[in-house]
Amino acid sequence: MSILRSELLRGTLDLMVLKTLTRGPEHGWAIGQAIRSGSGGVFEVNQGSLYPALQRMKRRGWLTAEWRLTEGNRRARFYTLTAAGRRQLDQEERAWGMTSAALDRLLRTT
Amino acid sequence: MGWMRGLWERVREMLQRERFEDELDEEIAFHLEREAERLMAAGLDPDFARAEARRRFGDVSRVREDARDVSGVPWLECALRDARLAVRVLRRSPGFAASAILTLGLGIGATSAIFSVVDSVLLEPLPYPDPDRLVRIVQQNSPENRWNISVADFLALEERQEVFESVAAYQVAGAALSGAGPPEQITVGRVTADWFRVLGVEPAEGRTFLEGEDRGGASPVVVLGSALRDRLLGPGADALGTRVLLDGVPHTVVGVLEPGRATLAGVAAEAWPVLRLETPPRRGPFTLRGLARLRVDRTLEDARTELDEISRAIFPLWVDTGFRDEQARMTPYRLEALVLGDVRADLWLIFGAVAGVLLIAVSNVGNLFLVRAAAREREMALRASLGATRVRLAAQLVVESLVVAGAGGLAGLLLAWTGLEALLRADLAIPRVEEIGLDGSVLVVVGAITLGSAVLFGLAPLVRSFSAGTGRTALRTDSLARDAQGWSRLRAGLVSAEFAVAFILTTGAGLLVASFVRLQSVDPGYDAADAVAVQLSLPAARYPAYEDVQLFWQDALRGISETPGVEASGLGAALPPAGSGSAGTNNFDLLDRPIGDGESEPASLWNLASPGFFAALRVPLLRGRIFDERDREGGEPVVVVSESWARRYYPDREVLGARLYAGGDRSVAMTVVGIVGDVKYLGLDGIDDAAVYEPHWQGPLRTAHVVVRGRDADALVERTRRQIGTLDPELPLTNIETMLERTADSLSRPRQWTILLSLFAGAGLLLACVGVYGVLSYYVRIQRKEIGIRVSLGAAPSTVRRLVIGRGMTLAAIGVAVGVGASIYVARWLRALVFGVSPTDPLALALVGAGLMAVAFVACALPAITASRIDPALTLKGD
Repeated sequence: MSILRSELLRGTLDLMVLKTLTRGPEHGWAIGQAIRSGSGGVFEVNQGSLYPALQRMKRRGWLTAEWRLTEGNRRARFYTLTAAGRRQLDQEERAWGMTSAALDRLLRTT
Repeated sequence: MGWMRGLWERVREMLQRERFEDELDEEIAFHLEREAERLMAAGLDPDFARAEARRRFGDVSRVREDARDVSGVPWLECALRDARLAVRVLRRSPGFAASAILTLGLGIGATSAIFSVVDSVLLEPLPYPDPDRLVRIVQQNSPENRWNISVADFLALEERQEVFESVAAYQVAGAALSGAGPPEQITVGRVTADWFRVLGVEPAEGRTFLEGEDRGGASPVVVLGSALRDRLLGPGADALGTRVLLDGVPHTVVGVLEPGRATLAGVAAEAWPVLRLETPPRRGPFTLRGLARLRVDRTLEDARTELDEISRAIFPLWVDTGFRDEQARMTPYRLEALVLGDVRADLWLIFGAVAGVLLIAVSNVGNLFLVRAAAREREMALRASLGATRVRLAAQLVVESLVVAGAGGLAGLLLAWTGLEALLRADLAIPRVEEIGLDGSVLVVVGAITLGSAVLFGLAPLVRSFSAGTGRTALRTDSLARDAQGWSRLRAGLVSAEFAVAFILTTGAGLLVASFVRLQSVDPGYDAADAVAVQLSLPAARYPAYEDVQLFWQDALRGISETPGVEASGLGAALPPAGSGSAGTNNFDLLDRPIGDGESEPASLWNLASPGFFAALRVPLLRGRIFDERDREGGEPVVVVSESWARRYYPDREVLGARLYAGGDRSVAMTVVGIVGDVKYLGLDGIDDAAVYEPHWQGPLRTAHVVVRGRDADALVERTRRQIGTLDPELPLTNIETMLERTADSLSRPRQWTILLSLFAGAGLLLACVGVYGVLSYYVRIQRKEIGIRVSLGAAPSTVRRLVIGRGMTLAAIGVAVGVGASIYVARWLRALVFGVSPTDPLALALVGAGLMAVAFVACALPAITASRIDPALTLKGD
């Protein structure tokens, strides 16, 4: 399976990050890993663009961040989903659902 | 709100920039570590794993940059960085920075201060509701001869008028205050019941007057000013219902005004007692001033027509009692015009001067920036070729200009504030002075103009590159020497313009100085040395009858004249060289040349004096005699006239023995028995010296100036005080001064205005010199190579000097030529303000022109000397 290094739509990156964090707080690297494995290897996040995105979402109030120690006793910044973030996730999921259904319909009928 | 929280986060990021970047670095480092570990777990060897992790991550510095770009407040951080850079750059050229900041500060500060004054005094409407409906009512038989209205006039006005919403009458007087605290003399405004209603002024406490409180029989009431209440009873104390004694008459306090209302309709009074009107037996005396508010649907013209009708209707009612002036009419004038008086011209003149200084300041700053711009063109071109966008360069230049302009603006603010304080403290006799304050909107406007022009000039280096396309030509080393014709012509033009403005300013100041000098040498008509004057006012309560007043003056004068050390003494209603307001005028009709039908009687200054008045002031008797005690008993009333009066009305005939009717009263004729020298009653710059003197016993004279001549001023005052004290211990002496002081005071206002205008002219000239110096210095710098060549070809230092000076003087000369033309044009406005000199005097203009050229010469000298010292060996070696 080819690894898509395409430019992901910014919105979908947000969606994937938010979804990942519903499972609990994670640090940046782990989020990237989760997206890769969770999508079955289809989405390889452009690792560099992850951090600016996390910062942006933090500023919007969808995440909070704090420095914690990992199991390996190393310092890392962990991101947690907020209530506002959860609401945003619901919104994006619905939007994505509508978009994909519409696209689906379009492709099937022609 | 989401965006607000986002903004807050950004600001936090901006303020904690360093910590933000460190944390990001740590986060990225952690990520790379974990990725490398994963790859090692998959079998890659450590070094390769780390390299691969890095590769997959992407450009780390790019990521850092991206993160930085979306964080903080980018444009602000950029601007702050530019500002810090600008400060560093400016520190390297302290001359430029200092000149620009000082020049801008001067321009902004001076203009703001003066414009605040002009705005508050001339442009802002008077602080009453609908102030353009307020009118003053005066009586006149021709526009040049105005006097007050009488009680009879006012009562008739009240009864018959329909064009005004409300009318009031007032008198400004001094009154002896006693009863609450130590006795003192204060200024009061005696006003009728509707006074406050006409003005639309509400009291802070209590009430104003009720209808009927201004008629005889009502118990006297008073409204206090806030300052007086604070002084008498303590700040904020309850004064309502208390009683104060004014001239011995108890008044009940019914109201207190707001602190800001000390001056009403141009009258500065500490208290406002009610003016009680009694039915008058005659038409006169004319002691009241009228104030009224027009109805909303009526105009000044309507008022003029109605007052005319009323005046004509009431004339026959009083004609038997001696008032004969058929031409007298009550006339309305807008209050504003009378309050501002003749200060309008002075203020606009100063404003013009200041605007001139601002113009010079702005063009100097422009020149400074333009010079700097040329020097930085190469720098800009280089940076553009290295990839800086035009927007970026423009932004940096704008920030630089703003740093300079901002500093200049702050300096201007400081100057404006201190300047305004100084202005208010100087004796400039500006009306509405209590309303003057530094106007925020003024500062904003002026600041915007100056800052705007600074920014505009700051962008000059880029303009050329925009129009020239690529910046490549600017990178060539000799581009500076080939400085575009356009720019240097612009700079030269600016300098010439500065000299033109400086010429106008200097001419104006010079004219004022010349006027002032002339004023000081005017012969006032009296001997100011060794004479003192005091003012006395006899209150009606203690001197109700005419005879009481006469008796007092008689005893007082006799007592003072018998005091040792007194060489002469006398009294007069008007004392020179008072301003135009205090001298009374009267109209008269000459028996041997009466006026025809429809003509107005002539009028002249009318003084009531005792026989000793002339000796006390050393006014010379030219012919005939002064009136004396013998004229008192029976016989015809006599008068004495001034030389100018005799010359005007009896130029070719004998004036002694001429007879005249005075004040429209045809029941008795007066005879002229003497001619005295002219006295300047209307100020030293007064042109009309015609005056008539009546003996003081011929008219009711309650307020008079007593003049005492003798050596020791303090002793004289003391003895006079004692004399008056023996006659009436409760009578205060006011306005105690020597005649020398009084004469000098009358010059105080023209002196201050002259100083002020000279200051501005000096500033303008200084700035113009700085301008020409700057331009020439720069010219020498960029022409070094050319000058070096000339020197090496044999040009003498003097030739080089001549070249530079010639260039500078040409600019100045053009400016002066334009200035001469402009001065002649402006002369018509200056005419009203100068005394004894002509604004277009060719000698004066030539002197100013020569002066400016001399000053310009000095400014050119230094660059010229620098140029002549140029060593060709150094300059020709290269750039």
